[in-house]
Amino acid sequence: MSVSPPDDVLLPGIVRFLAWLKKRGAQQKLMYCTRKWEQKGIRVKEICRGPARGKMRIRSNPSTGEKWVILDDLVWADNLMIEYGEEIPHHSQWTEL
Amino acid sequence: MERGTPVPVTDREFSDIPYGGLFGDTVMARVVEEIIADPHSVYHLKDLEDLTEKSSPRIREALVTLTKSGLLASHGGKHPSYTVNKSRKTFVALTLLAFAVLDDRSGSDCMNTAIRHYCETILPGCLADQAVAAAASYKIADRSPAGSPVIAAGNGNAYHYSPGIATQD
Repeated sequence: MSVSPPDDVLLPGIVRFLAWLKKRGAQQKLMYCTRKWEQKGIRVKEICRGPARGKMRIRSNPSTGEKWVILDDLVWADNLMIEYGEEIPHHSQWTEL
Repeated sequence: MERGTPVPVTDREFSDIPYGGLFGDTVMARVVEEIIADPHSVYHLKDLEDLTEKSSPRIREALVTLTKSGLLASHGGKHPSYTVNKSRKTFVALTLLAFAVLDDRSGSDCMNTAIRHYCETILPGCLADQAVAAAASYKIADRSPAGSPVIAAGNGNAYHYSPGIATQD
């Protein structure tokens, strides 16, 4: 599967978000994603509509109506995470967004 | 949900219970899942309080325990910040556990992908060593021409040893 960088500046942050989402079960409440990641400049809704279109989506929980972010394409996320060293981050890497 | 409360594992869609409920829905499990999922951030008590929606004494307790275990490093005095110690093997193991829980739920192969990549990048020698170990089969021949037993390995090497006499002091 090809990995097409959507934005060189934003991509490391997006990959870090994808890694976080995947390690949290590939699904998380949109409210929670927004609370954590918008302050780091990662706009989750825009990622769903843009670079992750067809790979990640926002879906409502039918029983509560709450919006959730669902990562569907785990292989795509894996490829990006490998490329950016986010699968199992090494101790030599250390940057805060 | 209170500490140690068992979590039903039937409704896994739209669930944010840490590690699929393996450790219950505890403050410790929530903090661990968060720091493992994002090991680059610098954490403060207040951040984790906002993110986990749990009380600060419980979170402080978890942070102290994780610092004592070496998974977190504490910086500063009265209001410390915390960073994840990515050199700890528990960090690697918990990261793999996160993938394993996802794989078991969704049938994906994320953990094996991560292990392969880890071996290739962090432990470059391990794959070659394992390949030899897996390919090698051993056979003990009766006698070599020299009269000593021979152990023949699948990698083509033959190992000889001389029969010894056990002595007692």
